[in-house]
Amino acid sequence: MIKINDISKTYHTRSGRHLALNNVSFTVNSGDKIGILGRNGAGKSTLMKIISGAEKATSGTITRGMSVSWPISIGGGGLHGSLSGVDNYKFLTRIYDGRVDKEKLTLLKEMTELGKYLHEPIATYSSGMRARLSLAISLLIDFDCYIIDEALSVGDNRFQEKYNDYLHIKNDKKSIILVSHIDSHIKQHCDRIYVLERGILSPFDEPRLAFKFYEKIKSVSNLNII
Amino acid sequence: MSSKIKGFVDPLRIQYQILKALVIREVLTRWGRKNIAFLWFFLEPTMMVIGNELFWLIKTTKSIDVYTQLNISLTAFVLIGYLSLMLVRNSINLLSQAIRSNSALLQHRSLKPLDFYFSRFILEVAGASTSLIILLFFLISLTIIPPIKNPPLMLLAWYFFIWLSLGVGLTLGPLIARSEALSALWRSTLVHLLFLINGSFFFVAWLPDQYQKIVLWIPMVHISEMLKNGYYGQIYQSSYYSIPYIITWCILLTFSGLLIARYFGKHLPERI
Repeated sequence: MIKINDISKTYHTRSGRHLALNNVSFTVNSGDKIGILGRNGAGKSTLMKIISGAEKATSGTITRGMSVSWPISIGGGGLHGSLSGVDNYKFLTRIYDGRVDKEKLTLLKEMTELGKYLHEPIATYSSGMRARLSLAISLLIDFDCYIIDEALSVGDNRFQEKYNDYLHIKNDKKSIILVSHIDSHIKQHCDRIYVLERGILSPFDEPRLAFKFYEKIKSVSNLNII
Repeated sequence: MSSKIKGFVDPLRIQYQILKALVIREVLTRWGRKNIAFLWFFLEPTMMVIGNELFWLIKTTKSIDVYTQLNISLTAFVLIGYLSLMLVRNSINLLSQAIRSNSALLQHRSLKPLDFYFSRFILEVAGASTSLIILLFFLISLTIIPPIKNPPLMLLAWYFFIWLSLGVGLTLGPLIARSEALSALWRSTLVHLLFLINGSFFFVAWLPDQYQKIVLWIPMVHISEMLKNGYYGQIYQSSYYSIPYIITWCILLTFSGLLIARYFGKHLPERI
């Protein structure tokens, strides 16, 4: 279980303080597939970084009772550009206290379908290739909870189906927190949905209501929303 | 293993694993996998020393008599002087860029800024020390330079140089990274000043009394004197280093370095 309790995050900018997250609370249980919808700048990435532990909240507490991945994003954040795919895999496995073995390397090849590109620096990869590598590495390290920041939105249908399989069928007990500004991705993967707007996280009893609310804030101009 | 012991040993093992992974990563990103790859970690300093040797040899052919009169080897003088200077200088340079060049990796909870500082420092020390040992071994075997007079003293001085470099690097590195002005000052002036104040290329005994008093405020000068005393033996009547003075500086700088590195680690440039 991950318990996020009253998290706030303030950034200091040149034009003063900016409240990126405002008293956010929610709980992730084992096997939960949680979707967080939010427009650009709503605070999604900040929230993901805080849940994963990459950044500290200004106030509030997080209790992590299970292992959590880094925020897996389209650009391949958390990977090192001048290292090859294989070296990135080895590096990340080592820092997350896992073991590097040959079987897993074969699996990595199968999962990413990167072929000989696995031995090229990932700075030469497309965003889709990086997303695949990120996801595959995190699945091989085997976390309890995956934080996925739009990374499923790249790639073709086959890619989507493949990783749906990995994330759902093979990992029934795994928790997923999927973050996106596109509701269709969230519809496909998640059963509990929140909407993040201007740093405030709103829960909904039914996914239907969340999508309705999100439609509304997308259509209304910035100024009218509290 | 009892849980109490495990609770203590496990973080240490993980920390070791993290530093090891970072050092390997550092080697790979700097020198790649091809050809002689990781050997560069000591070949790079070695080649720089050799380059410097040639430069000094050409520059000082006329005044080489000074060294012969003193009965000290110029080659050895440049070797130990340059490697110790390089250790201090590179520690500051590398640590000042440690966070910027690793910022993509701050996405990972287990990686802390201090890990980046330490992994770079470990690699630097390993490179400089290996280079020193190999060059000394070859030059002494080939009788190009005389054997070390007092190896334990030289080793202790080298160890102090490592300790001091860590303190100086951790103290100045993050500050240089944070301040444009300090960064410019370091690159334009201080780095050259270090050449003079590191004590690598003079004996304190060469200076007039009043200047001796001034340069002996600088901890690097003490360590350099100690290093040269270790290698050449006691050439001059008095020795110009104080071990308590060196240790005091090392402790103070380590302390300030850890505080500064911790502070800037928590206050990294924020991204929105």
